[in-house]
Amino acid sequence: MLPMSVTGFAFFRFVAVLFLIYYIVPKKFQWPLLLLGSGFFYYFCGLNSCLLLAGAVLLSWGTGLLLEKIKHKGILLAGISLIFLCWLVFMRLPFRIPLKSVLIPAGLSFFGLQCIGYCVEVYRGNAAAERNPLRYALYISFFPHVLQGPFADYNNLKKQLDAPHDFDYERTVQALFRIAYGLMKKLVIADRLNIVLATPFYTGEGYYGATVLLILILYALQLYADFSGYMDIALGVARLFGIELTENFDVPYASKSMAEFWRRWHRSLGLYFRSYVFFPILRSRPCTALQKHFKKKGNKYLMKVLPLTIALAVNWTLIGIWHGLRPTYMVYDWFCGAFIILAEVLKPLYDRINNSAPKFFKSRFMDGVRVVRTFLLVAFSFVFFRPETLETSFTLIRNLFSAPGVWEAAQFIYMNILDLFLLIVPVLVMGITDICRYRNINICEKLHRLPLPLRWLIYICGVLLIVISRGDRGEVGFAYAVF
Amino acid sequence: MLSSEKKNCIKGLLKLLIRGALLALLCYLGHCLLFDLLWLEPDAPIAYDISYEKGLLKQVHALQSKREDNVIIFGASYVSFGIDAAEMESILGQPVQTLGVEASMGIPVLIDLLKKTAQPGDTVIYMLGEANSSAENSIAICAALESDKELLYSYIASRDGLKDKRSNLIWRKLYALTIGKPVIRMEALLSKKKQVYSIDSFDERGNMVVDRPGPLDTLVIPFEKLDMEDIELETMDKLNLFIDWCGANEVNFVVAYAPFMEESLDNSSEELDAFHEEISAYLHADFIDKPQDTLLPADRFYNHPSHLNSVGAKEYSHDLAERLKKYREEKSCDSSN
Repeated sequence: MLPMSVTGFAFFRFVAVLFLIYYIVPKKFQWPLLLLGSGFFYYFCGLNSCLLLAGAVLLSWGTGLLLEKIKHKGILLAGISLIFLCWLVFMRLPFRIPLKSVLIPAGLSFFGLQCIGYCVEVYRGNAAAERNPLRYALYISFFPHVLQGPFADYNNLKKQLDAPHDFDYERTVQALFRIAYGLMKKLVIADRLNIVLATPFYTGEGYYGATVLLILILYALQLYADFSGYMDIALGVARLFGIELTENFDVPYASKSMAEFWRRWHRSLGLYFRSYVFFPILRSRPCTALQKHFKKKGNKYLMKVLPLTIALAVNWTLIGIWHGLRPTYMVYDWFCGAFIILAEVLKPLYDRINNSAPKFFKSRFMDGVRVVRTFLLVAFSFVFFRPETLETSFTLIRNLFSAPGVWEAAQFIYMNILDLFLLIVPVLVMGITDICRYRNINICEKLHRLPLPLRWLIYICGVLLIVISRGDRGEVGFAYAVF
Repeated sequence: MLSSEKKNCIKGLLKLLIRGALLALLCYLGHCLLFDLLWLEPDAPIAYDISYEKGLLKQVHALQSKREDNVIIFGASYVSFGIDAAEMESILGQPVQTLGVEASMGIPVLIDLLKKTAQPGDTVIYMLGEANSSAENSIAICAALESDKELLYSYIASRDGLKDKRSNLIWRKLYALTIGKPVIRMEALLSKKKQVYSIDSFDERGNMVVDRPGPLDTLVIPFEKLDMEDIELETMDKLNLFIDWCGANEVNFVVAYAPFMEESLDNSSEELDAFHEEISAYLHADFIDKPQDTLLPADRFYNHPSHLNSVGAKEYSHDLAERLKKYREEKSCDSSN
């Protein structure tokens, strides 16, 4: 059985039927219906996956109840270890491959972390343990986020899932907008760029200088369109049922530093690791001991920087492991982490430079330079993310600096001109939407104020843009589905 | 009785459904309208006026015109590149017409066009090479037929699957109308070889006349041995049906081999004989040559191991005409006996 693709007709038929029933049945049946729908959706990922999900739900639910009664670190660690072990065996260890064909634990990385997050919240006393296993199962398996996130805050999502929801026409229209926008990003931009970029990342050979840079920039666009496209669909579908999931992207390519980029990109993952890894380490005994030690010595710089470096290093190593035990992912995450650590270490120097000519360094021009610099750095970091092997990554890096390759870049564009042509309008739409979001302009609201014929014309053009630009190429999976 | 809250909810849902259905309908109509405006309308913009594919339309128009009996040679791009019509005409003493400009268009569309244009007394030669696609590149075909609405309508009407490809046709036309021509100009700048992929390469009958000098400058990659695995049997079955149609309509049908590059064909003479035996048993038609007869050295080729240059085309066409002449003589001897 194939997992139900969130860009396929089957998925939208399923959502449409569930949506209609959801608002027709009495409100007390809304959450059981969502649970039933989530079960049906997840069933398409395979019976074995369902059993694993059910196992993880029962385990974390039981741990939560126990933790409420006996607040013992050992119970928490035992629960977390079991879920972590499951995740490690099925998703991350090299010998998972032969198992994978039999057991497809779709979304385990995401719902596994959700389960762990819940246990920690109960242990910390931030959340009351859920008595009803079915209600808890819905929190974990809610179908828009079960496969690729976003990670949800337990208290926030539970409150919404438990509450009855009235049909709201405006909210539904906004949700449909969001879904259409996500489909455009995924089906038109990401999938089309996937065709263009499949060969260059295979061995990395034969592409030099500007061509490699162009490939990395295009990949940065593809990954953003792919992952944020999925999130738009997930958020839109959840909103159809009156549920607001956490926004996972906040115009990441407008960031002025690597640290800011990671606060805007896959935000729910960042928040999760900050809450459950970074801060606990920073507040751990060894780190506080270090802080005290340097405070005694009067070294404020090391008092601040050293514990921060340790916490960041552990944080990024764990994110690397979460991405996968593939060397490329580890190097990618260490690369990102290293830049963030470096920025912290060199902060006094930056501050001194910035304060030397504050007018210039705080100007809009310099902000623009920082945005471009960060984007190029992020695009460069993907040289470790997309290729399957480090050998390919290093081939691409070597080739990037071995020749200017401007003529080859023109040829590369020419060879892919038919596919790139299709991207002109969709990428413009994506760019304008992101700029509006950055400036806090609500496009939906603006659209709503337009005269009806013009508004409908825009709707029709939008749908046609998706249908026509998509063409008749095959279906491509989501880049983040592998995690 | 329903509560007022429920009534409002159902009212809202109905409003959403009606508006959604209306939007879907308008989008569908918009899609159809755009397709019609770009492709089917009599005043639809012409985007492929200088494209190489248009050679096919010239060929079809030549076949549709009032004419005497022709020798019609059809197949993939090696037909255009391989036939020097003037050379053949000087030997055969009758007009020679090529049909087919590129492999991706597929053979079925050429068969359909021949059924519409071939007349009793014509001799149709199928040039058998490694490109015998039964699949069609509908965009290339529509680009070729674009300015002849009658042919375009009949082609679109005859292909059920084309409805699903309308989006592709729309964006390809938009591409051609916007940045297509500047890109073609850039292609000419980037290419070291003289550009032959243009309508100017053909004469008014659609036979390729452009001068193609010099030996092949691309890397010669020996393709797999010529054997039955390279032959699309679906196409051969369609050809067999067409051969029956030719028989019923007094059209002569024979098969000739396309030119093969000596350096890139990896078969022994025995293997070629075996292949010839097998394919000639499959196709219900006479073959006027064997694969060994059409082997030519690399210096007779232009930009591809099956595209002849001008010298190669003259040589190949001369030999082909001679073989056809001999075949006809033998055939007339047989029938008089």
